[in-house]
Amino acid sequence: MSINLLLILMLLVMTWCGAFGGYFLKLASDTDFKKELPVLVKWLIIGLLSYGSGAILNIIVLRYMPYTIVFSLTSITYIWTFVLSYFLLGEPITKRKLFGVGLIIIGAVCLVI
Amino acid sequence: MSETRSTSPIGIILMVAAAFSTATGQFFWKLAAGGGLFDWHLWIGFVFYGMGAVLMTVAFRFGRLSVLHPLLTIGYVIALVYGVSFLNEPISVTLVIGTVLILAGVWLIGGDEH
Repeated sequence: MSINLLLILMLLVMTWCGAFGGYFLKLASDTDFKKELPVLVKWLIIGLLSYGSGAILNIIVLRYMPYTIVFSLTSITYIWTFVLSYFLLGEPITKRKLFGVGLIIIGAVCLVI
Repeated sequence: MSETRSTSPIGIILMVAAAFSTATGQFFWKLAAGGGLFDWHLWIGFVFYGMGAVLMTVAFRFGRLSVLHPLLTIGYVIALVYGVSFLNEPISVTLVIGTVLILAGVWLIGGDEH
């Protein structure tokens, strides 16, 4: 039981790492590499570190759960991606996008039942 | 530089390539599961996963994060093929339905104008 709770917590943190990793890599990709190279490198390092932390958690979790299930649960990441995109990047979150992520999550649930 | 741009097909193609690379990396990690730090599968996995991160970063130049990042779930379909073909993980009706729903979701998000 406690092992399962720990695994769930690790999966959750893994999705946060993935979402923040994506966000920081997006900041890096939007930085002009001729004018603001140090800024770009900063976002790139932060992005790769958080993306990499998620990867290490992924490797640990894979030792205890089937590959197909772990991969599908990573779709929770995109809920956090929408939150970050909306609040920090000012991107529109349309009904179509929400419906799309809803389908992805329902699909992921189908994979684990 | 972070002006709002609509997503270009190049971004979507790069994300599909990133998904392929990421899924391949995770597949090698699964092969390494139980092995130590010196298991070569682990390191091949890192190469593919890292390549996925690079492709993803480049892809992000061509569109919005909220459109492109969820496209990484395309990798699930690739993972399913790997899992069923090489790891003998079981395939079932719910697995197929789940995959179809995920692809439909990816299609909705990827085709969004915003």
